[in-house]
Amino acid sequence: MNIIEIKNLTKKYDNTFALNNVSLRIKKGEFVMIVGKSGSGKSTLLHLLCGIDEPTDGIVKINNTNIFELNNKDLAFFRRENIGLVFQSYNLLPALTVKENILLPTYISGRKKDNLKDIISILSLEDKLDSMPYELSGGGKQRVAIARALINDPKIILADEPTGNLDSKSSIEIMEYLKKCNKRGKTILMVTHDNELLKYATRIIKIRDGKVVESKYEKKNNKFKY
Amino acid sequence: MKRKIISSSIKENKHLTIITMLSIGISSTLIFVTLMVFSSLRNTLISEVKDNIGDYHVIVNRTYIKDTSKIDKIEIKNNKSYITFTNPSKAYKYGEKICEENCTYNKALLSLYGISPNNFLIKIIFVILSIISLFSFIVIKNIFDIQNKLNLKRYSILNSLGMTKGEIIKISFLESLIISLISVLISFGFSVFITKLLLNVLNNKLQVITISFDIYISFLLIGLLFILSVIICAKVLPLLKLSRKNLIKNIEGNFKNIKLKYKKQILNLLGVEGLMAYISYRRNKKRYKVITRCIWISLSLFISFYLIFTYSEKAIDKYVTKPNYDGEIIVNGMYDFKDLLKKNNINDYMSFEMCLYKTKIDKKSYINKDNYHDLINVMVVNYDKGNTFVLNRINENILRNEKLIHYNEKLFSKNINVNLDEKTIENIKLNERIPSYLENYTTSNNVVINVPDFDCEKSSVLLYKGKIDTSKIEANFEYFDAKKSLKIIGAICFGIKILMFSFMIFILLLVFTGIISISVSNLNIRKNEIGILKSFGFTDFNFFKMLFFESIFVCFSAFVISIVLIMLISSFIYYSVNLVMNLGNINIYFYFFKFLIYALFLVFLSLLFSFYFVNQKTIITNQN
Repeated sequence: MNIIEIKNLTKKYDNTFALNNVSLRIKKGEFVMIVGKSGSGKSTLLHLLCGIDEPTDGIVKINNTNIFELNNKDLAFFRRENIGLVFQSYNLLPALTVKENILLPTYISGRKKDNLKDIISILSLEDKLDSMPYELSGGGKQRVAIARALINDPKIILADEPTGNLDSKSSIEIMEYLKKCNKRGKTILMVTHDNELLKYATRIIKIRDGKVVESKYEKKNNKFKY
Repeated sequence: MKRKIISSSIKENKHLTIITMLSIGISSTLIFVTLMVFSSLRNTLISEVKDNIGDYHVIVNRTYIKDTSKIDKIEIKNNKSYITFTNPSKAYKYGEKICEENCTYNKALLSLYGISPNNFLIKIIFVILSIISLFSFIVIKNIFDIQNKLNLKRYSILNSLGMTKGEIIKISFLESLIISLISVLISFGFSVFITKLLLNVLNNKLQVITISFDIYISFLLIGLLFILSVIICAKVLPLLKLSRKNLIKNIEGNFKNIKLKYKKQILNLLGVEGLMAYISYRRNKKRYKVITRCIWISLSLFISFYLIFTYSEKAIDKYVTKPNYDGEIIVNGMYDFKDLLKKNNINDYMSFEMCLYKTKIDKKSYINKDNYHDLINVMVVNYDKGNTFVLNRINENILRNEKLIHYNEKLFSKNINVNLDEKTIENIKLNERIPSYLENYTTSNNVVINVPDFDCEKSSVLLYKGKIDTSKIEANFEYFDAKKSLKIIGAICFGIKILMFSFMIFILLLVFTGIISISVSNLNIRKNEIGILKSFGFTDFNFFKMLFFESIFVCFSAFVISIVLIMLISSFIYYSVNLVMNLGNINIYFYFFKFLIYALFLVFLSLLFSFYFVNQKTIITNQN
């Protein structure tokens, strides 16, 4: 069953195509890695998938709902119920403590914070909960951003280079956690530059100049078959 | 390079640049219009005084003047020298040298030149200009403060890349100067238009006097000087202080890690929006410092101006007595008006004989003994044989216990018959303003009474409602057109109200742009935060609520700061106005709270309006 369906998605900035007529189908429970060079359109695709940016043309259907047909209010509700976001630049709120930043989605959705303990323990954030974001290192901020994306237990996790600022040990820990989430039925789309992490994926999408040039899936013996 | 940095900064903060220009423009317009209206009024009054009284500065009671070096013109009339000096501002100084005995100065003219001790007009204009300048200064300073905050990160990066503090200040100064110069020049042109429009409205309404438009290039210099001083005080000096701070703190931002006690309660009570507003407000009070300052100053000044406007309006309405007849005719000796009334079909009238006798009565012997003043005039005229009808008993105003008391009893509505014995004179209650035809009879310290047994100058008076063909009445009739006079009084009142209303509008605009500019800038600084919250499911309504709660927190603290100040200002204005014009018993706190509600509404409106500016972007634009 397709959880995400993208049809002819195009995003144009002045005369440059960030995404050019991209069509994709992503099934529920897939762990998709999006790879490509810097400026190829990976982050733009992620932003359009969660509706925080507007496309020039095309459709994005999530659970059969065309998200660009929703009004602002419904789109906001849709996002808070279905999507967890990890930004490349962390985007933590500077006025909130680490704990408040992590709990922010629960404040907004009104959900219970059942998995808070699990998440902060996996991400080793126990002793940082009362710190302010400016007191954390880049890796620390990234952990908080990941924790915030996972706290609401969303159906889809969109992560823009979540391990980009972490050491290899922390990266593995986070990827293992994401894998666990994936096994629990979460659909994950992750942008990465790190080839070491591709092994966690069930599918790899390569983007070049705003177009999908490769889509590998059906992994056998840890290798992808076209 | 500097040029590129300046132009990129102006373009990048487009909204703020526009609003800064608007604020500077409105402030300058306010100053220019005040100066232009004042100079036009002053010059018109000077020519009126010159035409009606004369253009002399001093009258000396002799024809021979020894030293004529400082004298521009001497005119000899009735063995007196009417002297005009070359420099009117030194008229009193030169006058003292020339006058050996008593001199008579042309005080009306000299006061208009601003050198008389009673230069009331100039004092008023000076006070108004000072208030406007102070207010404008604060509003523009707040905007520059926020500009500094917005540019702090940029300046710190430039500083870390090797640019000196002096170079950064120069960039900031030039940036503000460019914006200010454009605004001042545009507002000068706009002020000419506004002033001409205002004078046109006034002239159309006044008719009796034509105020001609006057302009001096020095006004532009005053405006530029003002703006330059604001830039130096509000933009450059704070930057000197700011650039001493830790560079990395400026680049990364600075939030205090304050533990908040009542988060759960606030979350339950006000929801996530209230919690976000509370956290943001508590952890970054500096962010709200400028807007809080702007709001409490705006509240205080807006309420002050509104109170001056309201009290003056009330005072004007109360102070100006409207005669309830259309005309007066006075004929020397006995005269029967029946024919005149019949010919002109006038049924509503009042006619009586008047016999005036001036006598001096010791001031202390009449009216309440404790309350008297030099200006008291009492006038009594005979109406009926055997009875004495007290028609008009007092000149317009009486200062009692240094308070202005105004008597406003209609002529036709209430007449009092009194017998003129000593006791009655002592108990006379003063009413009504004096009709114009009797003004000449009343002088200081005189009580004008009619005592039939005495020899007096008799005349007949007719007060009527309607229209009499005045071209056909005899030449020895004295005629006064009360309707026309009322129209003139009304026009003058209207003129004053129009001027005050225009000032209010400008003040309102200034408050509005001040608050909007600061809140837009604040929201611009926080656009990343807005983007993040939206990407986690915050709706527009959530933002509206968050902003609403933030506004409440800000307004509450601004209100706490300003309440004492506003109370003091309201009382001060009330008692000041009451001292000059009787306002009667007004519940000043009613007005205080009424205007406070207006002002708070205005603040909310401004804050929400500014939110509209920021909310018109996609989430990802906000995050960038």
